[in-house]
Amino acid sequence: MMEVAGSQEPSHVWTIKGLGADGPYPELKEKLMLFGQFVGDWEMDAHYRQPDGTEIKAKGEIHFGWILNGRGVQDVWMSKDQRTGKSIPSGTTVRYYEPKIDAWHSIWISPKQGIVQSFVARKEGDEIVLRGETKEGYPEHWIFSEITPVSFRWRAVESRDKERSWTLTEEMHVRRSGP
Amino acid sequence: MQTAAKPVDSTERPVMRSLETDGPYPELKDKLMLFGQFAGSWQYESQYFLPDGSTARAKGEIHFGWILGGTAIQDVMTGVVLNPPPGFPRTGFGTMVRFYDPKIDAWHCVWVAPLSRVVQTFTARRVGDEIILEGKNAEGFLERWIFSEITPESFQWRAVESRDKGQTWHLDQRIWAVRISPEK
Repeated sequence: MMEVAGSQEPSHVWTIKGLGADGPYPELKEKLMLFGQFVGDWEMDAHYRQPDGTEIKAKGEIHFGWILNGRGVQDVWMSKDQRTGKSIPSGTTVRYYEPKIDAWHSIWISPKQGIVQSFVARKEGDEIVLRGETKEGYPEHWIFSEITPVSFRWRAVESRDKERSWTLTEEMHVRRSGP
Repeated sequence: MQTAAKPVDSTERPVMRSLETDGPYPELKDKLMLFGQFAGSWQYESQYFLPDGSTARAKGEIHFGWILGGTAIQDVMTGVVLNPPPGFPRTGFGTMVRFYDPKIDAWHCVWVAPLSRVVQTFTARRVGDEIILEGKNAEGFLERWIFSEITPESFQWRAVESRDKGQTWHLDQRIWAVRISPEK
């Protein structure tokens, strides 16, 4: 058999046939579950640290799903508009496990922020660390920690002194809201 | 060995429900239709022009849809190579996410292909009757992916590469695509 994603079944014209998948690609399942464990629906409370020391709070949702025959996991991050209460998508991450480097390529794409940011992600101890760079070229880590089946913590840190010290720029507490 | 995923309407999957949208973000509609015009399903035939002068043929499908509140377009491309030379992949698939950036009046595009181990970023603009995606390939050479001969029912696509900073271009691949389902 050859590997061909997708279905031939007719569906809504706006669905991207072949994108979604039901579960992990079996041969790599163990590795794929690093991000596969998040598949489902989540709600979050976010805190953004401003340079002046103040903090902005926000609420939102995250949805994770299998894509591309289960070789990758894509997510959607949505923030809740405080005036309307509507959730507005702020971006999506496309990520896949790369056996050659035993790590994940993870690309954050945000039309709202006007950015495409590439990370390499690995399990480090009890955390999942995504290593990349900010728009300005400083090292940036996105870290999943305190991971349980129904909750996790997420934080972004960046270093402006060649990784001697790290500043927390964003933090989220995330709870599962659906399967 | 792997079998194709079971046919399941992707709207049943929560992430797809949150991701997908049925049309463009209204305020940027004019700009967004540059790639929005491709929303829907296409079948294609393709030809690869290999460095040794030989060619390989492939065929497959491309499905484009609106995502992220209609601010971006994602596609999935699947294909089978009909006469793969030794060492050439027999199948390929990947996904591209692209969004319009008003600040540069152009599109950011990211192609992700797990089987070919490729993540490639491009900047895309309309140039005359064509849409040109410009980027660099894994070896650091200039690469352009070009949509041309665009009609509501068909388009052509070609990938060209330059190893001399844009002076000469080598044709790597061509695609002829035909729409297989109406947009609405």
